[in-house]
Amino acid sequence: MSSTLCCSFAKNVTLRSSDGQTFEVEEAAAQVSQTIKRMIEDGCTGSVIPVPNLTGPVLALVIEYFKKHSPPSDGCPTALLEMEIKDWDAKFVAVDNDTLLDLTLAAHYLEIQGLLDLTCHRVADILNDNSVEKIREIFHIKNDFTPEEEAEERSKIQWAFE
Amino acid sequence: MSEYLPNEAIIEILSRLPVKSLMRFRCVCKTWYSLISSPYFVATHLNHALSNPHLLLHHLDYQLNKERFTLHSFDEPFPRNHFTKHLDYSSPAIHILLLSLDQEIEEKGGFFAYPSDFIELRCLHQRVNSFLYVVGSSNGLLCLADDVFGNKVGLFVLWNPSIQKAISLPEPNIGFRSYGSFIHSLGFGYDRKTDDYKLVRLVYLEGTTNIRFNDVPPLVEIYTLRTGAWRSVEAPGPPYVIEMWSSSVFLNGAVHWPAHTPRQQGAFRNVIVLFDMEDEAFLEVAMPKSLQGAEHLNVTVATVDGLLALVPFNESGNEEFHSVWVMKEYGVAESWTKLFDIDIGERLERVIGVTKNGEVLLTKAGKLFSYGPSSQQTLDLHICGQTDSFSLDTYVESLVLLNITDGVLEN
Repeated sequence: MSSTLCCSFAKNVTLRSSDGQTFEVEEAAAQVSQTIKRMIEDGCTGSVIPVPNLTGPVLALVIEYFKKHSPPSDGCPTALLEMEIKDWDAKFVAVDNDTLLDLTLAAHYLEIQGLLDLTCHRVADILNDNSVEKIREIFHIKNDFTPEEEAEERSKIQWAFE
Repeated sequence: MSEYLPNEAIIEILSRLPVKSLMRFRCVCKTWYSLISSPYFVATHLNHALSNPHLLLHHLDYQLNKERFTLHSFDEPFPRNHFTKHLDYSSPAIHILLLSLDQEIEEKGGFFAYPSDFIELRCLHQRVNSFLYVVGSSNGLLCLADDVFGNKVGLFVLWNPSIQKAISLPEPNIGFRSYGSFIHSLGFGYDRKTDDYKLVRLVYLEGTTNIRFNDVPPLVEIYTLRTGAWRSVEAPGPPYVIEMWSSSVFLNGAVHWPAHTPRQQGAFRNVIVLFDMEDEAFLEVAMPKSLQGAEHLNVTVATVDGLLALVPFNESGNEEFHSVWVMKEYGVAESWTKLFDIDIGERLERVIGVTKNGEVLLTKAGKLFSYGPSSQQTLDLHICGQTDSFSLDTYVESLVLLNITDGVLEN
């Protein structure tokens, strides 16, 4: 790309996932992430920005989110646009549990407050009416209570299991 | 799949959950147990919960002799006429059903509503005296006084309905045995600076003048949850009398009561007395000019949409009605503004409160009514109770009290 053309287009940055996949994205869009924004401002974005906590497929999803949520070039977002984004958000997090948790983790590492609110809300909705066993399954958590300890704890708050 | 979510992310997720689920999820693993129990999580969860307040209605259903605590929507109109709301009158079966329901209501007596309209909280404290009264509600923690009218020391209880935990407070230091007859006024609130919950008690002794319980300043003592004990307050008590069973509101970090100068003094004046929970100091705020001099002013303090409010009962000639005033700018006496009169054409007993959407809840002949200030219409809410027992507070779900182990009544 010639330098004259470059100026008329938005500036791009390249992001590299933990498994070595690279993605090109507009700099303005990537700055939806506070972490990336700081890196760009600090000038440590020479050629490629490494995103070591995210695998390629997750980073690809996050970039979709960036694109949808990058600030509009022509002023304020309209109410219609906001509604459209809300719908889009709802569909965006209607994914399997593992992907949802990956996105939560990504939002946490990359400091994307909007995405963090969105995913945490969705996870909370999924968890709310579930059993303790199901929660362990979703989060891949090993129960480290002895059966006696767990039984005792449960008996103290029986009402919460009704 | 990432095998591991950092605690910060787990906290972000869990702080959005209702308390009942959180209590259950403490059993997931030891990490979650200590995480959910940690003071940091309790505070983070509370911050989320504060954006989702409920209305808490308390009343003594005298027909069933049962203390009722029910949660209602903060923004929606108060549920009314539960039959017409949920039943299809065009169905022929409905009249038979209504008849049987009517009978059931009559048998049960008093309060009846569809469960979808409210959540009933199971009160852990069994009333032992003649009167249970809600001193205040802060961050999901209710302070109850199980008191006797007159001269005995009552029982005080802190209760968090969400975690089904209540503790009874130790006996206050100022009691009948050492001090003789007294009346007291109570205020409950939260001290943000020390992250503590406090119950302040102003005690008026029988006194020496021919008007009983009218000597100022009162003795003042305070209970704090962190210490679990009563101690006296250093600041001098206010030079005003707060009547027994006076209303109080906790607003802007301070408890507010309606008060007046002692009756044996000249130049009678009504004021609002404040107790700042952080500084533990008394202050005062002027009432509207037209109310200051009324010698037997029957007035309650309240909040209307977050503003300090006063509800005086006006008696002049044949006119008898309540009014609602708000202090538009907190602490500025000139900003007192009368919003409206509540003139329902007959005598009402008490104004219980004003909801967020401007509905006034009031009692008449032991029944709860809703009054619309703009429509001037009164609606029967089909809730009966002892008039003095009705109270309306703001309530949020919280984990406050989770880590208190001493003095637990039940768990």
